[in-house]
Order: sequence, then C-alpha cells, then structure tokens
Amino acid sequence: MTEQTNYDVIIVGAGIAGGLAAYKLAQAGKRVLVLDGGPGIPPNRGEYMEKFYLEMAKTPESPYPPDTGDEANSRPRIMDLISWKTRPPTGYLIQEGPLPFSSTYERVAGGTTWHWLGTSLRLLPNDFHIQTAYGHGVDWPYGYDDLQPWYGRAEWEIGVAAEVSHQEYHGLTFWDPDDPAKPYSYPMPEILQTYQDQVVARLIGDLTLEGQQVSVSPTPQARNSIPFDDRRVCAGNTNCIPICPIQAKYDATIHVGKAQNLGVEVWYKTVAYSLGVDNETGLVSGVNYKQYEDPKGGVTNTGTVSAPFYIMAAHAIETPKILLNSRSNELPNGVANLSDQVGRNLMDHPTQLSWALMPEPVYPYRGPLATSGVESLRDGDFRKEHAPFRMEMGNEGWNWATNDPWGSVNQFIGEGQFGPALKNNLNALLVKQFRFGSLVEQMPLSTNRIVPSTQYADALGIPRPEITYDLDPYTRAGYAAARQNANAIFAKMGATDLTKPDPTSSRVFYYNDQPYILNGAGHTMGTYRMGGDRKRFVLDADQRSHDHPNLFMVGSGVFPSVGTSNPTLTIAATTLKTVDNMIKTVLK
Amino acid sequence: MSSNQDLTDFVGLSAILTGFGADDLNPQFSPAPVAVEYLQTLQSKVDAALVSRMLSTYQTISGLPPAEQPAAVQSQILADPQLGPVARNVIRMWYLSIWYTDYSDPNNPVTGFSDGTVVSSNAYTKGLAWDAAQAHPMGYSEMHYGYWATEPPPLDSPDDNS
Repeated sequence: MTEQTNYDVIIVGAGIAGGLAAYKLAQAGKRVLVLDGGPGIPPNRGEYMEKFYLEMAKTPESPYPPDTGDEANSRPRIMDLISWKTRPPTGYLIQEGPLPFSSTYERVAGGTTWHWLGTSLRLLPNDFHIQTAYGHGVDWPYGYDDLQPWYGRAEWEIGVAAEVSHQEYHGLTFWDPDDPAKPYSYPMPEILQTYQDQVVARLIGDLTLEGQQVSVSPTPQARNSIPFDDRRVCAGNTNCIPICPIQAKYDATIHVGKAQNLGVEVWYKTVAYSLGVDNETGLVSGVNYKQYEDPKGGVTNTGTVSAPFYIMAAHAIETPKILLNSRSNELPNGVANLSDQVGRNLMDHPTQLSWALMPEPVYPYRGPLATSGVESLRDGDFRKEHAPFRMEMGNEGWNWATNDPWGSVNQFIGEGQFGPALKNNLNALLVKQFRFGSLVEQMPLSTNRIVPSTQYADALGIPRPEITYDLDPYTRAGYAAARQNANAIFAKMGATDLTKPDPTSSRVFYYNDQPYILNGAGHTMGTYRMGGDRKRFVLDADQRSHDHPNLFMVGSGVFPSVGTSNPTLTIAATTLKTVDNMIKTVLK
Repeated sequence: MSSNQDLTDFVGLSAILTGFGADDLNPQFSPAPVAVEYLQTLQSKVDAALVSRMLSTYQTISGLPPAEQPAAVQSQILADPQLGPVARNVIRMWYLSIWYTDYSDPNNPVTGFSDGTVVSSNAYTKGLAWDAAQAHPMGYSEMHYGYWATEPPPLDSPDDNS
C-alpha cells in the first residue's frame, strides 16, 4: 500500500550527502522525509567508544553496529577481506574478484563519515578533464571553475581548517563563492602540522621527481582548530578513523541533526529496497521499504512512500543495488538505467603503503591521523603514462602497515625481551616509524560493477551486493610509480625502506612481476556517474536521472572520474550544487 | 580473590618484566588501578597453583639485591617451561591491555593478530606500549590542541603519562 504524504522530497540515506541535502531543502522551506537503514544517532558516543576500546582489531568499523554479517543493516568489514573467496560468503559483500573491493562503509545515521579521516582536498582543475588533457579516463560535464564556489560553501558548511596560500598548487584557485572579485578564506586556521611533518619536510629538502618539485603540504581538514559550529577543538586523539572521541572532526550526524531541527522527518531502521515507476509518465512513483526493530529479528513492516521528488543518497554500493533491484517488464535494466551504466565503473583510491624507519625520531602516534601530504604527484605530464597519486603522511607510525604497536610488541616479547631493554628497544623503533599511503587515481572500467546478488539475500530478504573488481594497467602503473617515488623520498631522507608486500595476502596483485598489496581507501565512487550523453551516463550535469525527471542522486557515485582527492568534500560540494539547482528550478 | 601480598608481588614482578617502575604500574592514588584488573585476569585465566608458584618464586627473588633480581627473574621465571609463557603473556597484558588466548605453544607464537581479550576499556587507556612510544593510546588523548607540533617529553620523564 502506498502512503499518501505531504512531503516535497524523499531522500534515501542519512549520510553526508543525504544529511546536507535534507538540511538545505528544509532551509528553503521544503518538506522532507529521509529514510535510513540504520539505527538513529546515539545520544552520546560513549557506547561506540566502549566498543572500540574492547575490540581486538581496531578496524574502521570496530566501534559500530552490527557485529555480524547477517543482521538487518549489515555492511562490509575489513576482516571479511581475509576470506573473500569463501562460499557461502562470510561477509556482507559477494566478492567475485579477480581482486576484492577493499573498502568498507557504514549503515548507521551519519554514514561512513563516522570514520572518515577528515581530509578535505579539492579536486584539481585537470582532474575534471583527464581524457582531454591526458587521454585517459572520463571528463566531468563541467570544470573546476563551475564547482569552485560550491567547494567554498561546502568548506564553510562542514568546517574545514586550512590556509589558502598553502593550497594554491597544480592550478587550484580560490575566490569568494558569492563574488569572484573577492578573495577566499577557509573558516578556520590551518591545523598545526605534526613534529613528524616538519622533520620529513626538512629531510626531503630539495627534490624533483617525475618533473615535479616535491613538497610537503599541510592538509585541509574538517576538524576544528578553533571552536566551530558549537564543537570543540581537536585534542589529537590520533583516532579520526575509527572514531573521534570528541567530535572535533565533522561527521554527518551534525547535518542530520540540523535538518531534524528544521522539521525534517527521519525514519530510521527503514531500508529502501526498490523504486516504483509510473510507466505512463516515466516518473518515479514511490520508494519501497522494509522496516525492522531488532536487527536480528527480521522484517516488522513493509510499505511504499511517495513524493513529487526523490533523491538517492544511499552510498555508491547501496544506491545502484536499489536501482538495479527495481527491474520490471517495462524497465528490464532497472530504474534510471537505460544507459546500462548503473552499478558499473566502481572505483576506489587504491592505496599503496610504503613504510620506513626514519634516521631520527619523528614521534608518531600523536596528533590527528594525517596533517600533511605530498601533493606534488597529483598532476603532471606523467599522467599520460601512469595514474597520479597523493601521498598521505600517516601520523600513526606503522599502525596501518604492520598493525603496530601490537605487531612489534608481540615480536619483541616473543624474542625473549623484557624489562628496560624491551621498553627501550620498542621506544627506539616506535618513535622512528613513518609511512606514506599513496592514494592512486583509479580509472573507470565498465566491468568493475556491483549488481544485486541472485543467490544471497540479507536478513530482510533484500539481495546483497555482488561485486566484480579489478585494477586496469594504467592504475597499476600508478601504484608501482607510487611505490618507486616513496622509495626515492625515503632515500633522500636517509630513511630505511622496510616495505614488504606479503605474497600470500588475499589482496596481492602484480605489476611487471612485482607483488603489491591492494588497500582500500574507503572511497567508493563512480557507480551512477553524471555526464551529458544519456547513452554513457546515468545522470545529467544537474545529477538528475536522464530517464526519470523527478529522480536525483547525490554522493560519490556521481563522479565520472575520481582524481586523487579524498571524495567527501567533493560529495558535499556537488550535493550543495545539486540541491541549490533543484530549489531554483523544479522545486520553485 | 587476590591478597595484598599477591598484588605487591605481582606489581614487583611486573616492574622487572616490563621495565616500568612499580609506582608507574600501580600509582598510590589511582581511581581505577589497572594492576588489580590484571592480577584478577591472570588469576581467572591461569591455573591457581601456577600463579601461586610464579608469585612465590618472585617473592623469594625480591629478597635479593635489586641489581640481581632481573637475572633471577630471567632464569627462574622466564626460562621456566611453565612459568615463562605465563610471564610473557603478563608482559603482553601490561603493554597491550590484552590477555592472549593461546600463549604457550612455541610453534604458534603470539602475534598482533592472535586471538585474545581486551581486559577492559580502562586497561586499554593505560597500555604501556603507548608510553614506550612517547605517545598516548589511539583514541585516548589527555593532551590539548597542538601538542603534536613539538617533541614529546622524554621517555622516562616524571611528567609522562604512565
């Protein structure tokens, strides 16, 4: 049965895209309903913190429900990657390979921003037209200058700390979103760089790689350097992923809450599973959903809700799953899929880890997880030959690379060390640990795709996502280049490279006969991309379905290509742009 | 339940095993003494007779001149086929706040990925590995904005948070 409602817009998903969209629509006086598949925002983060403290593996998902793979809001977990080939699958995703898609996401209110890093880099001007400039990938339907004002607004909306003069590289320009003649400033001063960042910059000194001068840049971060938006300043818990204990880092519960304060209704534990379409008008006619109370207790209610307009904001795996699960005789490809591109072009920022022992102490495991990066190899003529990358400088030693301090502590004790020698030897090692995490731009492949499984359903009887995933040669070449350049920087610094890819890993791949380990960045992108040609793209440049005029989509699924910037800021900017256009046109 | 003598012996032995001072491990005024939690964990996970033998062995050692005690702990406890694995798991517990489940099979050494239990959230925030790194437990900073821009206090500074 379809419920008659008075909403102007129904949004599926209460993450950063859905939260921002709901808030902006409500500010414009629109009546909005948000459906979210997970539990609501907890009254405080104490329970999540307690769970984090007690977890053996401090993975990104460790603080959050659910614990198992067979609950109503189950989602992928890092630990599932170890056994991704096992059948029946031990995890939520059905991974068909040849490589496992190695990023995870959350299905709780606030979404994956609970454990995003906070890195808020803009895409580079050349990232918007890589096909034209370098002959690889796919161009965006517009350029940097079109998105520039929305980047500025997004930075003020979520609260980004940075200094413009440190971000003007690779052609990035900044101006006031409302007046191109006026200069721009970020809402908060730059986050102080760590002691480690300063040592690395000094030891690199003067170095040129692939025709680019190598420099260490402070990273724009959505965390507070001064009190902002009624939230406190960062205390350097070194735990942005999996959870900031004090919400000094922005997360989307903030805009979900703001939207609710303006009257937006949010239905939690309400899992959208398909869309209905009126075959005469071609308009989307409703969202079909299932509800649960106990995540292990099955479906308690089903229904359909309708409104004149719909925004899909359910994440770049869940949104295409819903669209493809909406097949009918009239729409055998599913909803919004005359292009056959829904669910295809699945991308991540495959992340190459290189780690080394520094020649002097740098004192990691302190400060926010990352405060600087080498952005020098994000753009350059080499993009004709191999994918570009940004080199994130981790402030957590070898924690990601080797599971330290747990790894080395156990190794040293196993060797028989104890007493002051144990303490001092650990100290000598831990204070000199350093790693680069190079986020490589991945090219879109139509064969990299997510489809609803025909074999496996979740606890509510909804098909689970089945994923086919691989890395193309250009991306692999970028991965190898990231490794080589990290090594060159280590050598210049006098650091000892200790990078050791484990050939028995479930995530190993090869390039020029050398083994590399695939790591996910948590950046799921590309699966409902936008572009002018309705035969090749799912959405138009306004993020509106080419097929159904009352259906819009937001989130990183819209990116036709992904550059090397962490996607959240671009999600926010494109969402603000889309919603503003909706308010000025179809919702006028 | 543990006696005060057990706790004294456990902390004294732990100081030699970990390289941290007894006052660091069990501060006189602590609202949530983790040493008590660790001793209880040890006594709940390991055969009582073995724990008793370990503590009484240490009690005898504690009568030696301080400079001779580490070598005695090594030869009489760490080198003992039964006491050694337990003592090493106690070191792991102090450094990582974890009691590892399978710790006595020499062919299956404990690694950072082995099964175990985090003793408590209180214990997590007091792991010695973080002190050895001159840092703080990830997710538990008692510092303020910007502390990360300069070098930390020295490893054995009286101000350090151990």
